[in-house]
Amino acid sequence: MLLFVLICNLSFKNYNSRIITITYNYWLQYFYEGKCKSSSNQFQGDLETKSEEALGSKLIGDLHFNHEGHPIMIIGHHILHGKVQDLDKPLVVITKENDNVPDENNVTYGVTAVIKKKMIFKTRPKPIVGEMIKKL
Amino acid sequence: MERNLQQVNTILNLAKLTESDIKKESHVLQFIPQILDSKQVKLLEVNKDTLEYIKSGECLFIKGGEDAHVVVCSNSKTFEFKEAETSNSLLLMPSLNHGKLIEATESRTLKKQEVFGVYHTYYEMRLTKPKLQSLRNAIAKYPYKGKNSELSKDAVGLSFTELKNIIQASEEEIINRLEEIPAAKIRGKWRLLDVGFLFGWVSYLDSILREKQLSLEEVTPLNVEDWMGLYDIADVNSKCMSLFMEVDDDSLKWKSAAVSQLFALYLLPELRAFDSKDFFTAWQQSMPVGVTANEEDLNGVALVDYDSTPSLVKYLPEFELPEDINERLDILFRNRTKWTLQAITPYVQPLTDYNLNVAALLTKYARSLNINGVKYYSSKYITQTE
Repeated sequence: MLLFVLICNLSFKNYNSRIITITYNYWLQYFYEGKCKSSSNQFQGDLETKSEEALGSKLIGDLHFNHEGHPIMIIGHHILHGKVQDLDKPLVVITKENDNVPDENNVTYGVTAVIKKKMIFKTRPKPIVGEMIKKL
Repeated sequence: MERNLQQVNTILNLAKLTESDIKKESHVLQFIPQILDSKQVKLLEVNKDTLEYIKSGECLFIKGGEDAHVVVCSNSKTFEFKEAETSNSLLLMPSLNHGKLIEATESRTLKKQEVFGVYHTYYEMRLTKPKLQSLRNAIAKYPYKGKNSELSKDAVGLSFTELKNIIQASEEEIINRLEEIPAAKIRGKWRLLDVGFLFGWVSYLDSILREKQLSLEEVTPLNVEDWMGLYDIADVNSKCMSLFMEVDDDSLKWKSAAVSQLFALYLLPELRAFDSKDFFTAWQQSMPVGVTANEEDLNGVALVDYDSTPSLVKYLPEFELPEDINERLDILFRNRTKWTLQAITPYVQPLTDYNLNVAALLTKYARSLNINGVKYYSSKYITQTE
C-alpha cells in the first residue's frame, strides 16, 4: 500500500480549456454521478458521502524533510519514508461546471489545475510508543 | 485543533528522530473543511502533448458510444477514455509554498498545509485510431445518384455538426476520412456517392474522350470541369476528379487502381459470385481508355477463388465487413481458408492501432502456416481439412 501526495499548481489561471460532453452513454452516467442509473446503489453512495464528510478539517499528519530532501511523514503510529518524483504523465484536475443543468448531454468540466509532481511513501508500520500519543 | 511545534517535536522524538535529522521547516497536513467531492472534481491523466493542447486553451470532447465505449477527442486525435482504480491513496494538495505559518522559532518553522482531498480513482486517455466505418455507414443512408435522380426538394444527408456528434472521432480525423471515401457535401449535407453514379460519371467522361479521340493526358482539368458541368454539379464533379484522377498542375492521369476497383464494385452484384473468366473479360472491356485492370486491384474489393471449378470472383468489399477483428477474420476465413499477407492486408489494415500493426494483429488473432516457403494466414479456430 502506497501513499501518493499529488502536488498541483495553484495558479488557477482559468485555463480556457474545457472537457465537453458531446454524446452520452450509461458509462458516462457512472462517471458523472458515481453511480449507475439502473442499479440504485444508494447505500454505497451514502457511505462514500459519509466518509468524505468525516474527513473535513481532519489532521492527517506531520510532514518533514531530511537533509537529502526526502520527505518523511508521520501519520498516527506510522512513519513513512518517501521520495519526491515527477509524474510519468501529468494529471489535470477537472471540475464539473453548470451543475444545475439537468441535461446529461451538457456536462462540462473545466481544467482547474495541473499536477506534475508527487511524493510517494511506502507504509512501514512502526509503532510509535508513548503515553502522549493522541489519535488523529 | 491547532498543532504547535512542541507537539510536532514530541512526536518526532517518539519516532526516534531528532531535529537535527530534518530540515528547519515542518508541515502539518490537514484536510480542508469541505474536501473535494470526487463526483465533482476528478483527476485526468494526460500525455505531454495533450497538456500543451489544454494549456493553449483548446477543448477536449467526450463522446459516448454503444455499450460502455467512450472516447475523448481533441481537434485532431482520438483517445480511449478509461477509469483507473488504485488501492493506493492519492492525496491532493498545492505546493508547500502555500502553507500558512503556524509557529516559528530560531531553529524551526511549522506551517499548516491544506490537503484538498483523497482519491482512489483517476482517468486515463489512451491514443487510439478511431473506428470510422460508422461514418461511411451513416452517410450511406443518403446515397447520391446524380442531380437528376434527386427525389426530394429538401436537402437530405447529415451536416458536419451531426457527423461530429455521432462519430466517435476527432474533427480532423472525420474530415480526412470524408476526403478518402466517395463522400460529397450536397446542399450543405454529407452523402455517399452511389457506385452506379460514379461508374456512370467515369464512363461518360471516357465516352467524351473517345469521341474526341483524346486521352486523358491530353486534356486539362478545366476541360473536364466544363464537359462534366453538364453531367452534374461542380462539387460532385471535383470530388469525382479527386477520387479517380491524379491532378498535377494542369495535367491529368487516371488513378488506375481506384478506377479498376470502382468498376469491379459496379460489375459484381452482391451475394453472387461471377465466373472469373467472364468477369475479367467484362472488367477489362469496360475500362476507360488508358486504364489496365490488374487482378491486384481487386484486393480489398473481391476474392478470386481458384479452388472451385469454374474459378469464381466473389464480391467482398472491405467497407462492408464488421469492425471487430474476430468477426472480420471469421468472415474472411470462411470465404478463403488461407491468405497471403498481401491479399489479407487491405482487409486488416483499417483495424490496426498505433501499437498493433497488421502483422501483430494476425499473430494475435490468426494462425500462420508455411507452405512451400510461402507464409499463409488461416483461422485460429476452424481446423483445416487440407
